[in-house]
Amino acid sequence: MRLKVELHREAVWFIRHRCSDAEVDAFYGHLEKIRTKPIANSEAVADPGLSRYMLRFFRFAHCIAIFQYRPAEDRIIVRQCRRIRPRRRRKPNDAPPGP
Amino acid sequence: MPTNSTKTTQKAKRRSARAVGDTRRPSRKRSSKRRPDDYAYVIEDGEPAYVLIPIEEYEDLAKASMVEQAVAQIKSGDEDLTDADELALELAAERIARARRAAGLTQKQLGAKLNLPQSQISRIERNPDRTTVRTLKRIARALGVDVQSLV
Repeated sequence: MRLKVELHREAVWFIRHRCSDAEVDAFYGHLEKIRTKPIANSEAVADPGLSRYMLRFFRFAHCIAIFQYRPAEDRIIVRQCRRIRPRRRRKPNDAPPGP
Repeated sequence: MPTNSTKTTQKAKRRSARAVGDTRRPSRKRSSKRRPDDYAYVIEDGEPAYVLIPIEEYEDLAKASMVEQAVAQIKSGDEDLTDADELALELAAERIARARRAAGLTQKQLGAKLNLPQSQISRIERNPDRTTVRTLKRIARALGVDVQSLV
């Protein structure tokens, strides 16, 4: 069963204006997997800023797409796409103190 | 900020106004049976500009319009969503135009290279999915890019 996918305005803007062609291809590549097995190919995430319910996300290129899966309607709504924040590097314990 | 005394005066005024109007004010039931000819009109420049309606009917109308607005808002929320397949097609269409611009060519110049009219190039850029693979390959060759990067 191939699910219908819709994108929220913010996600459309990100895909259009912030993604390179390779990233767009990666997004649609992952979206195909999500369309067939949405739960198996994604992880759960809670983002109170977006929804008070649990959402799911998948990674593509250096970005993530947060989506809402509505099994009753066979529909996926991509709520937000954004870049993954680079991980903070911790200083090793034996590092000399800064200036 | 109105004081208590002014509030009471306003209330009293409203009550007295109602009391005057109450004697002939039609009930909710009666008003529903009214026909358009039964209402009083205010004429401006020979044309009816305002209609005098009972307050109950006005309140009903206001409520109805609020409900309509709320429904429209909910609907517009749904319209914020874009189908992923439609977006993919739009993005594919933009890719050809972007590649052409990156190559520093106008639609006319690209058409001249391929022996095609400018209108045909315009059509291809708008609907790349309705373009043959052969034409897409020719365009890719003329632009010096890979055909896969165009669609």
